[in-house]
Amino acid sequence: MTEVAPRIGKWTVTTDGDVILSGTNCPQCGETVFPAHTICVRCGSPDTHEALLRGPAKLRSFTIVHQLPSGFPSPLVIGYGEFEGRTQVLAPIVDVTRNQLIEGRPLALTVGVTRTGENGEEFVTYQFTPIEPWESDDSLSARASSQETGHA
Amino acid sequence: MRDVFIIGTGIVPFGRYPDLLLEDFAKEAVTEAVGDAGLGARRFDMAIFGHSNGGRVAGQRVLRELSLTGMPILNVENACAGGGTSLHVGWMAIASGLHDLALVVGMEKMERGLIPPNPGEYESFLGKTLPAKYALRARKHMQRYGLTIEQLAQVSVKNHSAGALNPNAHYQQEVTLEEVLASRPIAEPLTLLQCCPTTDGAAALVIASAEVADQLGRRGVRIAASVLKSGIYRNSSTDATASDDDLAERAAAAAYEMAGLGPSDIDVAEVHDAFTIGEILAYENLGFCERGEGGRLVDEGVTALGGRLPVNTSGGRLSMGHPLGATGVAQVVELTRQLEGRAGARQVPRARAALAHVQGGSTPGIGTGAAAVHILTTEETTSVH
Repeated sequence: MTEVAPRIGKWTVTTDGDVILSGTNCPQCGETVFPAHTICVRCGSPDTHEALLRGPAKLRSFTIVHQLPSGFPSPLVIGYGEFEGRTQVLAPIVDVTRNQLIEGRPLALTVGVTRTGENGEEFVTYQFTPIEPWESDDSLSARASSQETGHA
Repeated sequence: MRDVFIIGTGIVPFGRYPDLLLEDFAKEAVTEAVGDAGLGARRFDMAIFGHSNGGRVAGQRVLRELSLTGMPILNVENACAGGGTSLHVGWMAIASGLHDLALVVGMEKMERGLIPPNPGEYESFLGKTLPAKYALRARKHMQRYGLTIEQLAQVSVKNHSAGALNPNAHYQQEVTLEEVLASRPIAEPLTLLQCCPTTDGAAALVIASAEVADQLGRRGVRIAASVLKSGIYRNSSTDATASDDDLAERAAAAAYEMAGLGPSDIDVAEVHDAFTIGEILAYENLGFCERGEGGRLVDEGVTALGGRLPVNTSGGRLSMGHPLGATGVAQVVELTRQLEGRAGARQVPRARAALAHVQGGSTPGIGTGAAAVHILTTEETTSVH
């Protein structure tokens, strides 16, 4: 069974397969955040509106995580993607090679299984995937549902 | 505000106590601090306990063992900053004039391995463990300022070197740069020896007004500043400073102002090195060096024992271990003993001003949940040490 993970924010997948994150923008201070905040986390204004975030995002910081709670593929690459200088969102980076982990690299927004639960249930979340094709000889991670567990 | 003095310190050796209850070892730290202060029959006006895992009314359970009952007892949770927060509460109680004598305890019995995230921390759900949080900060610093993995690893070498001289440290052996770099990766670039171990421990402070300190002949170390702050939302793309760094910077600035001192006046410091990068960033956030220069400070030995500004003479979290709520109090135990000239092989000569910094607790969007900064100074006049 596939379930949507709770509390990580809302996203939609268009008929073209594009992934769009649904955050909020504050008309008072101009700040855009994701996940959505009813009250602006920056200035406290209660008047926020929906703001959509579309890829590509630019890779900012990242780490290759080796010690993880059960249910994650290991190693797991996570990183912050920046959306047009507005806000940064943390997500797993999948189908990625070590030499693609360079600041400023464009990332597509994708959707996939990030982890499995105690009863084997799969949690689908938004993810990042480098836009350039990946090189199989240096794979760092694979989707949790795949047989490829990755090697560093 | 009235002056507040630290008149007694106690600490149990940090380590693993699988067969003991939290009460069993925490009461030992309290007993040592009470004895050190020479309280005799005098009773506390208040007691504050910092812990995250102690469960309900853990402070009352500890003091019941010592027949210290009846006074207000407060249990404080603020993640890694719980101990520093507890001292801040005790300082408020005495500085305000409400109380004259308080007990401040930090204590923790830790679960093994990774600290489990709270369900509301959505980034943790996506794989951002606590080591990963610090690794992301480290990568950013490497990209922006050219911090090297060797400089990061050197923090661990330095702190284990100090910890080897501390009988209360969890790990009392030196490590080499090669060993740190070759230890298994936890969240790159952080390796195992760049992450604090999971450790049980407890530490205690007796704090008092000038009147009570004088009566007991213990007007030695004064709390010149006590500051607690929480994180503010920062946009990591458009704001100059990230939430975690902004928080420490604001806490330190307020502490320096309260103490009437600056970073160059500090002789010895304990900073939050739960991970090596934490110490590098603390140097910069606390004003020990310019932003981006933290790696250089380690390279030049400035913050090692024998350097101009020794940092984490206790061995830090990397060597002492990091029992969450205990850490902030243990830091102040170390610094008080440094100012009293009682730090043994780790003694910093002529130390007169000391700074303690803890921060912790992840809050998505606003960075670290809490940071406490304390500045301690010596009062030469009636010191008994």
